[in-house]
Amino acid sequence: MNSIDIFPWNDNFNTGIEIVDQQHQRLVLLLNRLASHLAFQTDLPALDDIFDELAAYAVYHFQSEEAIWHAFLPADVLEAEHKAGHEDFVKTIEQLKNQQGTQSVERVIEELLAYLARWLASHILENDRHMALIVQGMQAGASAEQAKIDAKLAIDCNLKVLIDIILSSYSSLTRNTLQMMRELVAHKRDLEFLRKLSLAVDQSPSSIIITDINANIEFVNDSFLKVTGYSRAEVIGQNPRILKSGQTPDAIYKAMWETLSAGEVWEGELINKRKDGSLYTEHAIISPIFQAEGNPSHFLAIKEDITARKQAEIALKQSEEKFRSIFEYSNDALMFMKGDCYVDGNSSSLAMFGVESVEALKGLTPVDLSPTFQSDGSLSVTLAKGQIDKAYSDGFSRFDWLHRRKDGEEFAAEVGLYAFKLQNETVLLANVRDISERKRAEKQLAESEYKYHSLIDLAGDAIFIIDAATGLIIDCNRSASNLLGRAKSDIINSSQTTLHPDNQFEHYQRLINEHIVSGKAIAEDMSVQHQDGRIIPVDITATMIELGGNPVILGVFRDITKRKQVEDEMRIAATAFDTQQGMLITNANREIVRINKTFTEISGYSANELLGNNPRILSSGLHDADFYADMWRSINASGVWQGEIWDRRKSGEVYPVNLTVTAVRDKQNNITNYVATHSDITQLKQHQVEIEHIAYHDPLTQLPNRRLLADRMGLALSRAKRTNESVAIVCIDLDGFKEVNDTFGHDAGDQLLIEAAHRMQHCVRTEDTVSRLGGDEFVLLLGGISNRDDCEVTLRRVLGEMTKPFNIGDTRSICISGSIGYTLFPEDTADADTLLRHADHAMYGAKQSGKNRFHRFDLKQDNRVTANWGALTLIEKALENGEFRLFIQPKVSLLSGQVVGAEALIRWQHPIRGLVYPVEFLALLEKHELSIKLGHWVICEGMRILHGWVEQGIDLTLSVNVSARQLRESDFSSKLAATLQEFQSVPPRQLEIEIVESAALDDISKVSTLIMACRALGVRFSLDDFGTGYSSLTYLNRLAVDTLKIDQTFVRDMLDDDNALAIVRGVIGLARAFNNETVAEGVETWPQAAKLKAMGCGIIQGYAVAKPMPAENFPAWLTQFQMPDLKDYL
Amino acid sequence: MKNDCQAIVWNDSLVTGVQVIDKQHQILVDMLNEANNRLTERSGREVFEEIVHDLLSYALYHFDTEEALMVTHHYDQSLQQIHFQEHRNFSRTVAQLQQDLQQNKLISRDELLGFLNGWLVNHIMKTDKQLGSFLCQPVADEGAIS
Repeated sequence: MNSIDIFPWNDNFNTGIEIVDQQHQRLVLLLNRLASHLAFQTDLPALDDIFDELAAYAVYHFQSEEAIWHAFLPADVLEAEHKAGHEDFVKTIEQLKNQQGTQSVERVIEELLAYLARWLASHILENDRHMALIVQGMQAGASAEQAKIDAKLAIDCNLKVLIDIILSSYSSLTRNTLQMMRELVAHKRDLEFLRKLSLAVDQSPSSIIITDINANIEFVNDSFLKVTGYSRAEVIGQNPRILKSGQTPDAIYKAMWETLSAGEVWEGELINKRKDGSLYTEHAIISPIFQAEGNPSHFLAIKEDITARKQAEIALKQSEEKFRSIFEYSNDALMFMKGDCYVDGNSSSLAMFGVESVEALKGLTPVDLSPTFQSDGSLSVTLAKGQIDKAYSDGFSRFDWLHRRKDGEEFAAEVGLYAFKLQNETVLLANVRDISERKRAEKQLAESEYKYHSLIDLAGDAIFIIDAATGLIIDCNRSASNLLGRAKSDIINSSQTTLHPDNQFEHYQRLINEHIVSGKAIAEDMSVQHQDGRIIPVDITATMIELGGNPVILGVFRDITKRKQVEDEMRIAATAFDTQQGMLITNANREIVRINKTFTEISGYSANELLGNNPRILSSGLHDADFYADMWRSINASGVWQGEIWDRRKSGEVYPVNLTVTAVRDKQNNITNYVATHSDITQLKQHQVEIEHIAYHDPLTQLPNRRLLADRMGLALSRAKRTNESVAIVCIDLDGFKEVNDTFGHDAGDQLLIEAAHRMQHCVRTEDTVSRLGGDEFVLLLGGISNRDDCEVTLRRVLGEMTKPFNIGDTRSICISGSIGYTLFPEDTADADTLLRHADHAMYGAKQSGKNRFHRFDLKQDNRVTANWGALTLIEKALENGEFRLFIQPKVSLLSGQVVGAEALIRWQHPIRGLVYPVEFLALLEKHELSIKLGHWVICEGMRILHGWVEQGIDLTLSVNVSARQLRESDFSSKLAATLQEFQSVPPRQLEIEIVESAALDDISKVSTLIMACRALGVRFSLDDFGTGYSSLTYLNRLAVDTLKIDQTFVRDMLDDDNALAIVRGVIGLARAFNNETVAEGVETWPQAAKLKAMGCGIIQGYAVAKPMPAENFPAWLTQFQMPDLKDYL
Repeated sequence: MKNDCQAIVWNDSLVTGVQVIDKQHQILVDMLNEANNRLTERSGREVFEEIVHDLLSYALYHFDTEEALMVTHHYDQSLQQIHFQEHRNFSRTVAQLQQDLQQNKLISRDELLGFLNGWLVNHIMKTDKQLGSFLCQPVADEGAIS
């Protein structure tokens, strides 16, 4: 930086104390630097630095000075004054510095400089000098006082005036110097600017012309000369019109002058002529230049030769137009993309995407014009990015794309993306071609091809295409492959001779040729050979067609195996129809449509007489309308009716037939026909009467046997109930008959029995029954009895007849007697069996009392009845009083050692007798209603216990015993369902019903149906006491039970008795075969359990595990039970 | 083989003096006689079933009557226990017969008749008569049992 010394150091300033003088010189330097700043207009931060430096240095200097003064003049008034002067300086500098914000920099600096100059002068020249003199005096040895006096003297009073003068001259000098220096700097700056401007004008690539107000050229630069070819001398003073080419329209010049005259800047293009006559285009900016007073004095023209640019522009424009038209008229959508955004697009693209304008297209991305997913399910956004990136990196990318119009319609497109540089930027040209039509066409083609192939392939008939010349199979369908059992690949290119059974081809070939030539529809009764050797009958249709110019045979083979079968069946059916049974077929309207020969033979009607008629033409008139209505109801409901019916022959004779009518239904289940099979059972009927007689009669005496007696009793008892009359049930035993047999032989005995039977029959009315039960036991049923005497009259007669001698064989006379017991119904209101027993009982009484007499059964005296009745009453009361209990006996799995269930066993908690076991009372109930009641209680109680278990979280099966009688009750299953319903918390599978095997076998079909019904409710079943009932496998199969319980007798004996062991093993095997669980009952020891486990038995029950226990004890028992290790017992 | 056991005729040695008990005892005597009559060594299961059935009924019905009387009339506890025990034994035996029958094991005629005869002699003629004499004692506030 330029610097000036406005306050040059002068030796007069020296105080004589070296350190002080050095520091004074430093202060003067700072003062001068500040002055330079002012002169050269430096910036503020530098000024701040100077202030700070000045202040800091002043303080440092003052400390040095004060230290010296203090050393020599401690606590002197001079020292204090001096110090005050210092403080004053610091304060003033501070004030000046703070003025910076409010006053111009120049002003601040000027004031500062003025203050500094004055202060330096007075302080250094006066104060410091004075002090220095004192110090020097004292250093020379003078006392302080003396030194002060000397110093005072040394500084002349006039000196002060001198200082003021010096100071004022310094002050004005300083101000002038500064001013001058400032101007100097400004001038230098102007000169520099002009120099740069002149260089710029001269070296500007633009032509610059300056004319005076009259357009005489005053100045041109080098570029002008270069462009026009003129020299400076040739143009200075000339009018610029020398450049005029005549090509620029006059209007332009006119406009130019108007603009310039208005004092405004004109800008435009001119076509000018160089010195050599060549033309050039220039762009000109011409502006008037105004003088200070506001009038234009010159014109300045800055012009640029734009000939080359102009030509380039034209070329570009042409090329652009060419390109545009290609771009615009392309059928493909063409779009430019920057990054992944469209920036431009042709009209095809707008039309294709349904975008209304290029503006609207701008900023869209391919994703905006695509569905979310491409046809392969990929996300469009991901795929698009990949393709765009590829185009940018590889230069291009071509792919199929699913686009979407703005209106949402999607179309398939083929897209090409091509990258190229445009103005240093890589852009993409996107070429999008709508190929949805093409796709559609492709798809249609594929579909129609597929359809054709499917049709051919799915055709049920086998189709072969055979080269007529070579006989090779060219093609075939799937059915062909199936028909022959050969792969298509195996068939194709094989000879047609391989299609047919060996050695038969020539025969077939001839037939087929005839067929082709004759055009006959079908070549029948042909056959092909299946791979597995079967000969398959086929119909063949063959046609000669041309394929690719070659004659080929199109052969359609139809497998007619099924048809053949149907034909065979029909033949069989037709044969069967003409069987020994009469057959009659009607249509759905019950009009006879066909009968067979046998029917004609039986009925006497010919087919012609019957066809079209209703079968009622055959009816005998013996059955009422209800009978036929029932019959048709049954046919329509169940599809079949079978029974015996009386029909009438054409001859008028009525005859019995066994008729089966079956409804024939079509696939829609509509009845199409009724088929009646009809056999004349006239002879059978006669035979049947004989058989029935045998079945119901005693072969010896021809009297009704026990079966017929039971029937007759049933009838007699119900009649008696209706008529209020009594029936006598009479038992007769011949006294001494055994002896007759023993003495005279069985034949004689038989003869006697026959004779006795006759006599008895003579004693009774015809409507009464005399029957023989066997041996010498006879039973009479006497109806229409009004009192005891009625009956006894007859009985006396019988007794009398019996005592008459019997003449048997060779006129031997035998004498016997009879003992008779009887009872009267309804006085004795028992059932048939009991009545018989009562009569029998009375008969014993008669025998006891001496024979040849009759005894009447006396109900009141029949103690046994009393006992039975009494016992039943007790049980009934006990049930009402809630004295029955279910005891629980656990069942344990041998596999897991876990308790898996329990059996509920009934106990009678008798108030006096204590626990009564079922064996003591259950048998009494067997034939009594009460057993049903008790059985029901058992199921309900079982469910109640199960309910308790469910609440305690015990998930075990509880089995209850159900008697055969209870099971056979008609409402058993519905009652069970109701009980289950009552305990909804209990899953039905937790209830198991145990029925005794022998009971189940009593009425197997009913019981198996019942088991099914109950299992449908979810209840399980087990067969109790298994092994005692001689179940056959078939029976077991029919009884759908879950569990077989091995009877305890076998379990008990099995370790000692090989037979028992075999049975146990057999039952386990059987159970396994039927997938049943086995429970061994009555397991008393662990060795038994171990053996059972070894044999594969699943579950055990018995004392070994636990005795039956009150239900309330069971949960506690359950928690402590632990199965021992059975290995220890093997 | 029939009738080789004599029928038991109801007689004073069997009478306990308590009418209701005696009437029931007669039932047993009848049963015994009938068994005697009907049973042969070849008798089928049905006959046995009928007899056992009757015995079960009888045991329930009759013992209930006797035991109720004992309880009601505060029969001596130890005698009651003995009496009850005999009843239980009878019941158990009949129950066993019933069970055997169920398992197709038939008792022999002689065995059955022997058992019933033994009961007649040992229980009715001793234990029941003892009870009878107790019940027939005139009791001040209850009056005679008839």
